[in-house]
Amino acid sequence: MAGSKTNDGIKSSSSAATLEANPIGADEIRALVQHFWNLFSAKSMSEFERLYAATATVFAADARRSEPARLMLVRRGRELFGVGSAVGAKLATIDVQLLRHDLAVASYVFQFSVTRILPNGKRVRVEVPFGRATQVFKRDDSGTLRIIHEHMSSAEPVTPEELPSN
Amino acid sequence: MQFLIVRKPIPHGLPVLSDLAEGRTRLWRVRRARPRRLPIRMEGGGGNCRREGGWYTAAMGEQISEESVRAEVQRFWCILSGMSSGKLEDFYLPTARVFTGKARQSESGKFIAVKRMRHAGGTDFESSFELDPIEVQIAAPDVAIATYTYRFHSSRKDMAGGREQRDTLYGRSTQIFQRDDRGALKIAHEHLSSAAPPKVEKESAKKF
Repeated sequence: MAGSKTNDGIKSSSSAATLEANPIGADEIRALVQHFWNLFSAKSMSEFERLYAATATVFAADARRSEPARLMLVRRGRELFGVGSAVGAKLATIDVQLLRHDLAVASYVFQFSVTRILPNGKRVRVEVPFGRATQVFKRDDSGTLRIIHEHMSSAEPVTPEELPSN
Repeated sequence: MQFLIVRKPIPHGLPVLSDLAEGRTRLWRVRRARPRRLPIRMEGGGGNCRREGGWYTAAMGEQISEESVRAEVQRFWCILSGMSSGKLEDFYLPTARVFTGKARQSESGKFIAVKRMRHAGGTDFESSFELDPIEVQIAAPDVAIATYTYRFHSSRKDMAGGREQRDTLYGRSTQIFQRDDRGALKIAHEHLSSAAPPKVEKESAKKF
């Protein structure tokens, strides 16, 4: 990026100019949301982690409070990206609100299906027919869009179903 | 840089600045009995919705402060619970989208605000709320994200004359604020959800 090897002041002003010249598009956000779920389903942990900003905060679907994304990622990695787990999602229309040239909000509903192994060895499946997501994306200094906040929830209570262990 | 100073009278019932400065550590709880003209009943720290007047200024070029966002969140809940007067729809940008507690799709913020006020405006409706500390993330000079958990209690008379008490004990809220073209903070996006279904208790009408 222009100005990246000069001093900080020049770097930040030219970065800002570059970012303003490259405003976020709604289709870019929709593609990124789709990419998010593709990585989730494919259990590509390292790429998945990179979608989040270092300071991102998250309301996970079943959490009672918000938490730093890095904590959620550790838990998600353990519970949903491990051997024996499987994730599938079908997305409905993705609404995109472009708040600024570098900031956008994606909101959508989705069907979510997850199978995972509990610490006690039992396999459970959870079906979420009416999942709801809000994801706030911001372009960072390098021009990469990252999630800075995420809120996942379900419109209806969900009950895990125990599966045969084999 | 040019600043446009917008002066607005603060409607009665808003928290005062000294309250707002303590925003991270206090709980708010208010209670309101309909009809509106009856004296307001409060619980706990309900004084944060107390009736005090004043003025505030908003400068268009000024970065959003965490305190101003917390103040708006508190004002939102004071009005939602009926403790303060004001229009809930004024909180939202015309383009705002909202996920309410159990909606299966997002809806227009203005539409939801009108629906909420109608719901809360029925006779013999009582509500109270408690907010946990409000985390504010300044996403841009004119955009901030408020995240917090809350408890909301409401009760109303049902058709049979009994009462239905509804307690949301694990409410979770994301509200994204953005300055509008006049410099006022407005909600651009809201997502309310609950980590557990609300507790609903029904009390039958007393028989004499």
